[in-house]
Amino acid sequence: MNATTAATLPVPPSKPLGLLDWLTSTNHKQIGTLYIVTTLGFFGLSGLMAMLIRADLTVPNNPWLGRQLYAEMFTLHGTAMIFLVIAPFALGIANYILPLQVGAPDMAYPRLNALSYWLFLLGGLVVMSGLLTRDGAAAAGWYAYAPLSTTGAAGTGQDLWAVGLLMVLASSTMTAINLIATTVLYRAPGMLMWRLPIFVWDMIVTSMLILMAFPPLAATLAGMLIDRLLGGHLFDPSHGGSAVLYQHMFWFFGHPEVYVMVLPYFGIVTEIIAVFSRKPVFGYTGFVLSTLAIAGLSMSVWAHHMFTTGAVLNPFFSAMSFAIAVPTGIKYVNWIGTMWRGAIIPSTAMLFSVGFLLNFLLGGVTGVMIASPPIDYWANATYFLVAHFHYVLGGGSMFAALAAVYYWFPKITGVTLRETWGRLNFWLIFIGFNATFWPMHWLGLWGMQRRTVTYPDLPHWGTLNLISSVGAAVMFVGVLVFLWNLWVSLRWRVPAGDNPWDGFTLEWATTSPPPEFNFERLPPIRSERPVWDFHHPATSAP
Amino acid sequence: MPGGAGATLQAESIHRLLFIFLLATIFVGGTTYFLIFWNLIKYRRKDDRVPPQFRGQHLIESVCIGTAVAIVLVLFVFSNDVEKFVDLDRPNALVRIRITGFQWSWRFEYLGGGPVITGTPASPPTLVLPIGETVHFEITSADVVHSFFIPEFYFKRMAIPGYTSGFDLNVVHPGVYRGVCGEFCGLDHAYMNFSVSAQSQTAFAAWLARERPARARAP
Amino acid sequence: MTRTAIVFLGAATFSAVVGTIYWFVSYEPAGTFMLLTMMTGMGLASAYIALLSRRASLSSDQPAIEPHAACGEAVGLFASHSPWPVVFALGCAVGLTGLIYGWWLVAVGAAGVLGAILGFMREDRLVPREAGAAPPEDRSASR
Repeated sequence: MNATTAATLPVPPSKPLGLLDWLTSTNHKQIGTLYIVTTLGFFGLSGLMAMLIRADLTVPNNPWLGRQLYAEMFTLHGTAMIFLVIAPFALGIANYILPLQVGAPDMAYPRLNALSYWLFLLGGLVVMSGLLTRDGAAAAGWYAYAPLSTTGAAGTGQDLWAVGLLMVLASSTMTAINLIATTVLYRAPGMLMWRLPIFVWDMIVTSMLILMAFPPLAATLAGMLIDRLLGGHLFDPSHGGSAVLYQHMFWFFGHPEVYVMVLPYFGIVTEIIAVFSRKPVFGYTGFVLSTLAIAGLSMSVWAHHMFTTGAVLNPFFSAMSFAIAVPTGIKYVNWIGTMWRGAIIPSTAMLFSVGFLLNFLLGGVTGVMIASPPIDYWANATYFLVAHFHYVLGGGSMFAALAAVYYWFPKITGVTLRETWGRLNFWLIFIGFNATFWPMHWLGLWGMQRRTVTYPDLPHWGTLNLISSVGAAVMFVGVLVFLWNLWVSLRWRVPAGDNPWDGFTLEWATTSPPPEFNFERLPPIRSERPVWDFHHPATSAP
Repeated sequence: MPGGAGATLQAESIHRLLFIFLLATIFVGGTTYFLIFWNLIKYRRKDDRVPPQFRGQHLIESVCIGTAVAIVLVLFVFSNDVEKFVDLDRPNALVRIRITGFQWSWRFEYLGGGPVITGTPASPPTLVLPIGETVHFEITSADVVHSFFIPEFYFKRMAIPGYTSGFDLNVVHPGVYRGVCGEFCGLDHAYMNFSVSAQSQTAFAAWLARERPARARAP
Repeated sequence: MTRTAIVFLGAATFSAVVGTIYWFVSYEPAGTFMLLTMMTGMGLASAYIALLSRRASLSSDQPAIEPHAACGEAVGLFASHSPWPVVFALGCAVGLTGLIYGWWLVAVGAAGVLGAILGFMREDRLVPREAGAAPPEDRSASR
């Protein structure tokens, strides 16, 4: 908290911990670090797959990658980004930061926490191991509709995909339980539920969504394995099963999953905007209530992914989908209100957070368009949809993930990332991202369907695809700059101190990195900003 | 607007709907983008003074929530109206066609003693349709999930094995239109194309007469 | 903690309401079933937390408490290292891929998982305790 307190704390060990220590540690900080590094690894792998896809699509009438490999690439790219990158990165950050923010010494169930990580790592490797099999990896798409994924896909790649994902699902479910238990039971004295940081609230709601949504996917995957390996016909219409049932079960999970992938990042961005505007969050209570509303509504919109089946009650799902736009959009009132009349500092974390605001808005409005079934008849399964979900998940969650790294890197490692490389990182990714995905809105409405290994030479299709591929290359360079920044900052260390950003929440009350059980002492907790209140007593709320 | 007004009555309706949504998008999106940039520029940190630490403003929050709800309600009403029209499904139309998707082409059966047209990826089938009247379709699949997608009609419907779904199209403008498969269905998904030839009612009747009695066109 | 119970109860109520409406407008069984089981799951969590909150009174929930007032309060039991999570995860990976490659693998994996479970249980019983000291107040939710 101040220099003299820091001098009396135990000095962290100076030599790196051994392999055995990392394998058996149950400390949330080590496990969080493992998650973050592993998800960055899967991000790199999945990103390379995306580059291959873009290379294939650069020129019309040119299925350069080959049909089978192309199908494996888009399947694994989607699977990895959704199950092995965006959600686990958020859970990893939560692992590290949530116990600190509530003032706890560790997670409620440390060994369960470690088990979650190893299940995640091994499950992800099992999914990817399909690439090493004779018939190749899973190639039925990330949502793997039956019967293509059951009777229509021979080879063990699809089985490994299902088995690996079952492990990943178990892992996330365990983490969700841990996060809720930690928040309920291990808050510091005075840390009322209504004084929790917004990030913690968003993680609790995300955890509830995981508990509600992941078991149905586990059941769906079990059903897929029963059909594939044990002679079942659950999803096989030629023997009395139902292909529509697969879609209902999958999307009952699939829609809450996208909120699992977005809510933690809302929390991250909210905190960063508040700290770098030097103001409290605008509308804290409304924000928490709208997050709860999003969670509830997200469980009732699933069949908007099935509008084009003709097999579901479109108006019900359309109404619910329009409804969910309200609490999601209202968050912009909170974010803009936080910046309003503040003192905005354009740090790299803030740049990425503003990038999030701009990109997610575009993804959000295209989402409202496809909440309308007639527009969805046009846009579904085209590149318009690809643009929509990349804007919310890439332009949204990915940007927020990078913001999180720039914001909390000093706390985790004790050193800051370089701001100049950070700015270059931001601009390359922002320009590259928009160049990649903006043209896809047009390609989609002109009729370019998704998951197509090549496309005809229609007017402007080649040009737009070329722009998109060049944008992807620019993003790739941006990621290299990011990795460079990590390396340079760790190699030539600039110590960060306890609280380099004049932050608000409890993680900034301890050393960087924190000691084994997190806090030697805590400030009094009277609001959602205990560290700010401690350092700026004249401005604290009564 | 991408693609123009569309070649069917349903497409024209969907096109107008998208225009309404675009207006709403420009209004909401534009206002929000403006506010973000305005705040970033105007409230950039200039000195070390701590800015006013207010936590909310109930009037602003309430007005924004109210506006959002109103916009969303209006959009839903427009959308629902268009959907009721596009989803009309009249099985007793004069021209009825059964579509079956299979790996990796399409079969079109003109019900009531008409021809059966089956395609292959190398020889895509042509769906011949009359303009100016309601054509009713029943669609299913013989194996995995496909999707019958005609981009210039702004329309697609999934072909699902074990399930038959019905829909109507009223083509307005004669011409040849491109058709593709809209749901990943395996290796040759990108080659599962077809074309739609929309002709005047007399030309269509002549074509139908030439193709009777029902015979499968060999690939 | 009652506030958390209320949050879960809210989720359960919402599922019940939406599930019921959904059934009567669509008669679609899969979605209705999933919504209603969601209600059960959330309701269970809510009831359990409410039961817990009767017995516990957390210093976390006292709005004006000074941090040093909770000094000496035993927070919980936190293991610092354990080899069993890795063993358990490896057992799962091997056992589940055994579904694909052969039942003998399932047996090997199951043995690993069982060994890990026994290892966890053994660790729980070996927590050292100073002679004469009362056992630390167990704030974990396992009772």
